[in-house]
Formats: sequence, C-alpha cells, structure tokens
Amino acid sequence: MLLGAIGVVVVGQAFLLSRSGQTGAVPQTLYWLGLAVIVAPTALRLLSLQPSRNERLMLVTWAGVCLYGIKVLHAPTTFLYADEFVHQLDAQHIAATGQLFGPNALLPISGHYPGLEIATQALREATGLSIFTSGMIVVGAARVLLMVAAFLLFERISGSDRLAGLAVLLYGANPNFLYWSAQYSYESLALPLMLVVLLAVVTRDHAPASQRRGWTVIAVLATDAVVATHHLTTFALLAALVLTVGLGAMQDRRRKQVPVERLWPSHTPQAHSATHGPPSAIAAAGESRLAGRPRTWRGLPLDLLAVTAAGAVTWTLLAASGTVGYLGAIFRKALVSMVTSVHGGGRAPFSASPPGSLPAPVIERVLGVLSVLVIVVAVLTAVLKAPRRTWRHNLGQLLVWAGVLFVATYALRVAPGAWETANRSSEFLFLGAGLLIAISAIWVADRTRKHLVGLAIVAVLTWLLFAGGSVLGWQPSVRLAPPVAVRTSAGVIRPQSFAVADWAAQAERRHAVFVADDVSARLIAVRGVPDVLPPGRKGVPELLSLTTLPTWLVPLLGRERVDYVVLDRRLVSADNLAGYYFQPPAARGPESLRPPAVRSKFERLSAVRRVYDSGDIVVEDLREWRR
Amino acid sequence: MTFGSPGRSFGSYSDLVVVAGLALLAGVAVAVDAPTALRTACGVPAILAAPGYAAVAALFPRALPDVWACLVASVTVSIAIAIWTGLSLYALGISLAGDALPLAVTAITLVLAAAAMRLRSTRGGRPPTLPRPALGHVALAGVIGILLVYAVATAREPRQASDVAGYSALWATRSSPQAIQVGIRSAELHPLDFRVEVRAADGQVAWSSAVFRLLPGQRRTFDVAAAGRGPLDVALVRADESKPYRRVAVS
Repeated sequence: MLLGAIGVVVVGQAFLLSRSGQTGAVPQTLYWLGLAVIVAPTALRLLSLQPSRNERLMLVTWAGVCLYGIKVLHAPTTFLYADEFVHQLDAQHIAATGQLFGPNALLPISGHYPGLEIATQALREATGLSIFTSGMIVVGAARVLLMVAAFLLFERISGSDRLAGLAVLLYGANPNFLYWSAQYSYESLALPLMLVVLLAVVTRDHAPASQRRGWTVIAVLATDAVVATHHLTTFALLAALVLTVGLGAMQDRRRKQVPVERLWPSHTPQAHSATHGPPSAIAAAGESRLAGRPRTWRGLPLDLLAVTAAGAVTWTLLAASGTVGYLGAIFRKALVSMVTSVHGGGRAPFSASPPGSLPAPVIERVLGVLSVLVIVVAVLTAVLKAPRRTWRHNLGQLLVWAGVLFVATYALRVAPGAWETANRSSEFLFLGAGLLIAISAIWVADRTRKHLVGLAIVAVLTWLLFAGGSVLGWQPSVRLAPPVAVRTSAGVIRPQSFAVADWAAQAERRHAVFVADDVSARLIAVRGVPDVLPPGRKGVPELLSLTTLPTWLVPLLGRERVDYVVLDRRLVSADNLAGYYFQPPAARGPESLRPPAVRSKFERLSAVRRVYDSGDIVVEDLREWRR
Repeated sequence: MTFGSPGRSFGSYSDLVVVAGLALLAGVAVAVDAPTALRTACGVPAILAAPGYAAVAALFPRALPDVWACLVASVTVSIAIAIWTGLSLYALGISLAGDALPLAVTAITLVLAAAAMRLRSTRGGRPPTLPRPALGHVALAGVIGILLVYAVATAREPRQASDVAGYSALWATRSSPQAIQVGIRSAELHPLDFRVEVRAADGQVAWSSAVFRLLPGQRRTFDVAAAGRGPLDVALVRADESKPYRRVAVS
C-alpha cells in the first residue's frame, strides 16, 4: 500500500513538471514509473498464493484508489474534462434553483438523468463543500464501490479470490479506467451501481433463504439508482440480465437431458481446489448448496429483469424521452463511420489522438499495439483454457462473451466515428476481458512462479497493459496535465478561453445568446450563461470554421437570436479535452491555426462589431446586425 | 440499557447507535450551519454510508453480510437513498437547494436505524466485530496519509511555467448613449505598460489614455465620454510598440 502511495506521488511529480511546461523525457518517465510502482507490485502480490482474501481485497481497492488519485492530481482544483462541464452545469442548476431536469446547453439529455447530481447536492448541502469537491468525493466513493463490488462478483462467479483480485486489478487496464471513468460524469457512478446489481443477483442465488430478500431489496434499490443516473448503463444492465436469464434458461433445458455431474464437474469443493486452489468459506458453502439445488426459472433473475425493464421504460417515457434519439444518433454515427472506413477513410488505430490532431509518438503507438497484442493473446488463451463449466454462475459465461467482444471492438477503433463507441463500450466489456486476462496470467504465473524472470515478465506485462490502456484511452497531449493556471511574477494567469468565458459571464452579457467553439462554450456555460448554442448544433461548426459566411447560415443566426459569436483561430479550440490548457510551443505554429479568413468573414457585414480581442480569440457582436 | 428483548445490552446495538448519532450530528451541523470541517467530518459518512448501513442492518437483522459485502451494500443503498430522496422531494415541490435534502436523509437514517434495532432485538442479531488495527498499520496509514496530502497540496498550487504564451484581452462596450467602457485584462507573463486609443470613424484620435502598467492577472477599465452613435475603433497599444496590440470597435 505504501508503494501505491509512492506511485501516486511520483505521478504527481510528473504532473508538476508538466505544469511547469516541461514536455521532455523526464516527466514522461516519471509518469510511466509511477504507474508501474502502483500496479506491478500489486499484480505480483495478487498472483501469489499467500495473501488472505482480506489482503487481496485491500490491495485491489487501494490500487483503484491510487489510480483515482492520479485523476485527482491531474485536475486537482477544477473540472477540466469535457463531460465534467456537462454535469457541473446540471449540478449548478440544482444548487441554484433547487429544481431537477433543468436545461443543459451542452448536452440536453444529461439533465434528465440527475442521479449523480442529486447525490452531489446532498453531500454539498450536508458538508458545505463546493460542487467540485463534493463531486470528487462521490466519484471516489463510486471507485471504491467498483473495486470491491467487482472483486466480490468475480469471486462469487469463479470461486477464487486469487482470480478475482487479479481480474479486478487488470480491469483497471481498460482504456477508460484511469481518466474517463474517474471523471465527474454519470457513468462513473452508474457502472459501479450496475456491478452491485449483478453482485446481488449472484449472491442471492447462493445465499440462504433468510438473506435472499435482503439482497433482492439491495438489487432493486441499486437498479433504480442506475435508472435515474445513466441511460447507457441502464441498457447495459438490462442486456446483462436478459442474457443471464437466457443463458440460464438454455442451461436448464440442457440440464434435463444431461446428468449434472457431466455439466458441472467442478461443482464440488475438491474439484474446485484442484483448479483454483482452496476456495473461500463462502465459495465452498455456495458450491455445496448449488450442487443439491435444482436450477429452475425460479433461480433466474426474472424479478430484477422486470424491475430494470419497467424502470428503464418508465424513466425514458416520463423523464427522458430524448434518450432513444440521443443514443440512436451516436450508434448511427458509428455505423456510418465504419462503412466509410471499410471504403478507406480510417484513422490511425491504437492511439487516442483525435482526428485532425498530431499523431501519438511512435513509442506510445508501439506500447498501444503491444498491449493490444497481449490482450488478444491472453483473452484467446483464456477462452480455450476456461470452458463454461468453470463458472459457478452463468454471468461467468456472459463475461467471457464480453471479453471476446471487447477484442472485436478493436476493429471499430480505425473508424473516426466508431472510435467513440468502441472506447465508451470498453469499461463494460473489459469486465470480461479483465477476467480472461487474469485467467491467462495465473496460468502463466503458476508455471513460472519460482523463476524471477517469470515474475519480471508478469510485472512488465501488467505495466504494459496499464500503459497501453492509458495510451489508447487518453490523448498524449493531455495525459501529463499541461499548465492551466500559471504563476507569474505578480499573479496567476489562465488560458484565453477562461478569460473570454469570464468576460461573457459579466452581468450585462449573462442573458445574451452565444455561439462558441467546443472549449469556450463549455467554460462560458458553467459560468452561468444559459444560452450557449451546443457545439454540435447544426450550423455551429460551419460558422466557426468556414472562411465565408454561407447564405443558409444567415437566417439561422437570426432564428437562434445569436448575440455574440466567439471565434478562436486555434484548431485546438474544437478539442474538448485538450483545448483548456496553455498550448506548448510545438502546438502554436501556423499549422495549428485556422485560415485568417475564418475570423475576418464578419468584417464584410458593416453592422457587426468586434467587441473583444485577446489575440487568438475574438468576439463579434451581432446584435445591431440582427436588428 | 435494553431494547425490546430483556437482557439485550447497549453493546448489541452499538453500531446502530453510532450510525444514528452520526446522522443526528450531521443533521444538527447542517441546521446550525456549523463550520465546514465539522460538517464534512460528519456529512460524508452521514450521506454516503450511514443510511445504507442502517438499511442493511434492517435487511439482515440476524447477521450482517461480511464486512466487504456490507461496505458495498451500505454505500450503494446510501447513494440510492440520497437519489430517491432528492427525486421525492422534487416531486413534492420541495427545493433541493437548501437543507431539506440532507435533513431528509438524516431522518430516513434515524428511522432505518430504529427499525434495525427493533428487528435485531426481536431476531437476536449481533453487531459485527471489527478487527482492531495493529499499531504498525496505523503508523503506515499515517505515512500514506501524509504522502497523499503532500501530493494533493502541491498539485493544487499553480506553478511557474516556461514556454507559456501570455496575452492581454481588450474589450469595449457602450455603457450609455454618451459613454463607452473599455476594459483590459493582462495575462502576460510580466508587468507591461499599455495605453488605449479611441479613434472616430475618420481616423482622428477621440481619446487617449496615459500610459499605465498592468501586472499579470490585473484588469483595468476606462469610462470614455463618446457622445453620438458613430462607430469608434478602440486600440490597445503596448508602450514598447507603435502598432496596436489589440483592436475592437463600438457602434
């Protein structure tokens, strides 16, 4: 645990150097070293047969907390990730008005899933802390929940605390774990709650009758919390329960034809010990109960499936009718992009650099490719080594499918529009991949346990998986916390987007309608300006990037009653992850700027005035022109 | 002290008494607007753990699940209670922007703790036994705590940075039919001297400021008399340069 804390401090030092403007090898080395110090010793200890169940649980929980600590150190004073602004806006609305389901200029659908914001508001009112700090605490609690719930789930499914511990740690190697899943966003809370529902499903299946009702109530409460928190997780939970019921029903039908011993040969403590080492007391008790218990429809989570389906449908109809359209648009975009890619329009795979940005360094792309290779080999090895009968619950089979599906999603990463879909699905599907990789790791470790070289290989591979996950999940330009608040000889300065947002939020402009690039729009919106056209709104990208003002855009500006247009000549202003920071010299060249005509196109309109100028950013006042 | 069944001592409910006491303390701290440190110390467990623990104790009156499962269940149910209490208050037309939400959660916790005590007394349950941490573990936790506090404290401090491009922002707006307001905000890396020029449409200088110095992070505004509705050009000029540094216009 001390090593984990040291690893966090080392990564923190890398961030400090990066905030000081250093972009060379030293901060990079410190970052990868700190990550290694957190995960490699933990993996080695978890692979060992010595630790108790409690120690394993503490190790994986602590590793999860330390990895969350990296995110906290990455943005320690304010929300800086794209989705965080969206939810900050919702939380601010609740704090200011006391009302739910308020408008959200950045992502309208998010206001209809207020679970995270309500929990934040409860904590904020109870403690007097800021929205930022309260939100970080809620997400931190969710991270602990995720680690422990995943461990218990894997343990109950596999009967092995050793496998469970390693699987949960390796789940942390998924591309989104380090930053994306740790941000203040609805999925960061909903995913752990979903795992608790699945844990309750498995636990009550093995629990004595007196405890089943309790776990059912917990599952129902957690399900309802998921439904009120995040759309995609609700549908993922629904899918998991449908497949669990379906698998269970198929197994029941087969069970009628085949003797139990042939299908479940490992369902005795003796057989289990031979495969995984000594089972825990809970696991052994579960085995004995399961062995003598006929599996019928009554053992399937039909009640929870019904609760989830009813909750999802009711919530979608009554509170969040735009959900289907919102999710449909995302999946449609992914599909179209995949088709385009098939016809030759792809992007560089295995890096998180967005389209149009500088490509990731070669070493990072090598890391990404190597980690993908390790994952593919490990997943396929485990699929061959872990036939269905190993699992003590049919959720295990479902996780195997999820792991295989995760490998398949690598194909989506070559399509620009589908990259997001592949990336966003990884925190769900990697639950299975983590389990399968852990099976392979144990298989390898058990054959090399006494060899230092073998242990070193395992340690390096674990680090490689985490490093590869970091490479795949987050842009290289912002992985190391670039400067966002710089101390000068006389005060602290922030980048230009912050300055224009402060200007926009002054009382005389607070009720004006703004059009701004993705970065400025988020900063303006969270400063209390309610009318910022969403960056994705039809016409907005064209208005901000074209060198001329198309005639079809003119009536749009009038219809939307646009008062001010914020024009940022920097291309990075469209990058809602990297655009908030001071840009390094390498990213300030002419190639990083839009053509001058993009900003000068309003000069031809005599009644339009440029009322703000900070060098890269100008603001055009359209009010008189509209009149 | 006995609850329900004769012979049941305080020790049989010690965990629930602690939970109820914590919730009560958090509720009082909210009601009297106690200092943030006290409210935080009570409020975080009172919102994120206490209601769930009381509920779990009521759901499993004879024997709680093992400590890890209990942790998961407590945090989950606590979050679910906070969410659904918020939704219920909203449905009842009660604002979430005041003390109502934490106080409602406190009330729910107290009711659940009382129900759990009652159920435990009738079903003969016991509180969980927590292992006593060894002195070495406490010391290790202290060292880890110091390391993490150091990491967070240093991360929160703004740093000096090389190769950062400073800038200054200029804006102008008509504050009345007779006047305009000109604003300058410096985000340069060093103190800089500026002056402001306001020119009429014919190019004549209508108003010019004296040279003034702005420190990084400082801002300054000028109210300039400008009768009539002619368009005016406003320029910010650095004292060490002749060309305008920033340029805006006012109708």
